[in-house]
Amino acid sequence: MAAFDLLHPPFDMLAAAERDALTASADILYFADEEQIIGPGQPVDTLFVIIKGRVREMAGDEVIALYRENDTFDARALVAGTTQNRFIVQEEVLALALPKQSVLALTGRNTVFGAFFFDSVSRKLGALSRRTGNRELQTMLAASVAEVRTGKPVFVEAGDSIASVARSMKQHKVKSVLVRRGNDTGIFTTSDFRDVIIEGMSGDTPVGELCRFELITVDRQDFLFNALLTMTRRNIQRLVVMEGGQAGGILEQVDLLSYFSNHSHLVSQVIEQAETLDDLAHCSRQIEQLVGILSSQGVKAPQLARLVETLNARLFERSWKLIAPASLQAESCLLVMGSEGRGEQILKTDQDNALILAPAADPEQARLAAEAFSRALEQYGYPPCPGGIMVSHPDWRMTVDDFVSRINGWLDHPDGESLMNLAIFIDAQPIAGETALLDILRRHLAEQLNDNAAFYSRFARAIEQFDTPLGLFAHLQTRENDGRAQLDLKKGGIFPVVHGLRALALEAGLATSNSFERIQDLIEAGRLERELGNDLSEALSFMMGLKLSCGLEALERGEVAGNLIEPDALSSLERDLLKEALSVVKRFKGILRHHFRLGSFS
Amino acid sequence: MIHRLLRHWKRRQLKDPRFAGLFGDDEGELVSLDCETTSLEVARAELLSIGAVRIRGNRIVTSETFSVRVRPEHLPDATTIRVHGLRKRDVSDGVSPEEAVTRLLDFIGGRRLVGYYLEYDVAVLNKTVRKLTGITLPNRQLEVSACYYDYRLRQHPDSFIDLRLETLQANLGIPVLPRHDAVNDAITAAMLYLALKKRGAAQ
Repeated sequence: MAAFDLLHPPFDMLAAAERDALTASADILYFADEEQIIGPGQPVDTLFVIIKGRVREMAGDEVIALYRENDTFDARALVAGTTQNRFIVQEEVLALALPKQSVLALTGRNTVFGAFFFDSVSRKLGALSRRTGNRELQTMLAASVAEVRTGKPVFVEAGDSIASVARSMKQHKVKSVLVRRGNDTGIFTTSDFRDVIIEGMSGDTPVGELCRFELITVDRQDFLFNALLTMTRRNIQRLVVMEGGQAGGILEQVDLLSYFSNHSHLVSQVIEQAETLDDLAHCSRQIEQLVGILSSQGVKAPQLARLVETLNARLFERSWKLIAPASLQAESCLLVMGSEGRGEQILKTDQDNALILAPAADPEQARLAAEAFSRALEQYGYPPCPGGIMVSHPDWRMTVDDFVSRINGWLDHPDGESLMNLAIFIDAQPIAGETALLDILRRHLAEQLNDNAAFYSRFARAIEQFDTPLGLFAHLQTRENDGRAQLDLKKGGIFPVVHGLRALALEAGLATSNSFERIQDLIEAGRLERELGNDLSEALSFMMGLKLSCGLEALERGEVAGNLIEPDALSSLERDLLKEALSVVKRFKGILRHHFRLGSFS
Repeated sequence: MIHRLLRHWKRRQLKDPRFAGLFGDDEGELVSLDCETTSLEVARAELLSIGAVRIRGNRIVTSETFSVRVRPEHLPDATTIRVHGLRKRDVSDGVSPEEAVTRLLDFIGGRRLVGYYLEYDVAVLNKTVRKLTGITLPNRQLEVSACYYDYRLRQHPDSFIDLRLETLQANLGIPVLPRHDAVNDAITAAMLYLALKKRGAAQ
């Protein structure tokens, strides 16, 4: 019987025999307060697992991570054999010391375990999603193909011309048809038409000459899981569903994926048909429920955010249509800004919106409509923006000309508030009305900013705003169990990434507002290293997910979803990933500091 | 001074040169040990298992633990089985007490011994040690409960000092291991020793 078992991640991935062998090679070490366990220039030949106590990891004077019971440190240093950081005892530590050779030998034999030690953050986060993905898999495993609404197959004859096939596809609104030739069945899809055009074939060509007769099928009783696997493995978008040996339907990948967002389909239909604001308030609650359902089915935060963005945009658009007179609708542009504009607001945290008026718009009419709109949103559960950044406030409901001078004001007097307003405005997306009005403002902003390096630097500086000398774990200063230790995920992690990307995107003149799209665009423009970009994506996605799951828990308790999370309440793997994510944030901040020469301002 | 004289004297009494290692160098290490026995009376007690682990600096060398099952001459009775969980069948494949102690002495060498109520363990061991070597264990001994007593007394003079193991563990922040396993108990004593040493309460 071993004194201490290695039952926590990543050791839970080991087979019992592997675990026993590793435990047998371990010694127990004891460290007093403030003792340095690992430091720069010290060879690292041991992986520590904390039995009791706490250890902080310091980069220079800054605390970048705190390790506690069952946490492991430091995989990276072990692999590298050295580290620049110092690991200091925060609170008397008893630790298991695993020798380097034993750990590394295991990483070679057990690949899942190995992944934790060698891989960059990206892959490490992938390992988590595989673990949490279990729930998703279970739902998927339980569901059979029969449960998904599949389209009825449209049959054509092999001798039919492709022109008539095209007409038939258009008429039935399908992306594929099944082709009969005697006892054989083939499939012909819209993507096959690409070849028709490339080859310059005539519309009279019989479809039988072009289609494939070896069908990739799935049985109606088969698991959805297998269907998805087949699609992924073969890199195809649809499968023929077999029913009693006959082709009975087509399972499109889209159908399969929307099986999860099943409700989303219904919600968006209901929104379109809503006739009163009360109906819409009901829809808004449904969106919230949908988020809970999808999140519990394992849909990742960024995808969820995009879905919510789409639904919310429809919700806002529909509300605006019900509220604003037609003339006003035509002479204004309704915007969502901030996180809603970026498509990253999943739970309702605030209503950042604005209304740009064309010169011809009636200001009084606009005021009444805007106030009604803000009230409606409040009724939907969007708390009013504490800074008054909403259409009901005259500062955010102005004519194009007034907005132009407002933007000039922000640029001329770039104090904290101006820069915050600008940041929110940069993420704006049009929801309803005359989009050209927003384009005018965007063009104006771009012209004003042209090559103004000093401005970008000032703009980017906000990333430094929330850097506390303590590091991110605010409770570090206090020692023992004094109440609940909390961490502001937004200030410490999400904001610096989002704002840094915004600053880079603004400088590069990119039109995208979603952070993940910005990352991709910045990589493609050669303004962001691909590896860092991927790490940032993963880190941001993980932090959004964490914020979402903590927010959902808060809602369940009847509290307001906020940005504070309790590291103590996380699993040690989640904490580990959070540390990795935050270290990516730090890396990114370092690069931004250098890029925007943030040191040169005082 | 007295210890050195005593050691010197025992060295001369030693019958069997195989055990000269007991008077060797301590190599800067200590050994924490614990025995499970058939009874709590030294006179009647027979060894059932011995666990020991070396302490090197701040390291408890659990990668080289000493653990041995002993087959007693009289099999354990029902009352003690309940304490240590070693049933008749568990000990019947053990080694003889002489064999077990010979191996233990080799593991200990000249190192100082550490334990919780070590006196009892040493007394039981000495019954066999004397048979083998003609002397009792010459190693210096360190009693963690005594160290703890001195430490608490310095902090809280005049107070009643509870020396139960659970109290020591709680006050020194030592995790509780499944008990009555000789190796685990030896590790526990070693952890207590290190915690006391860091507090300047164990030499």
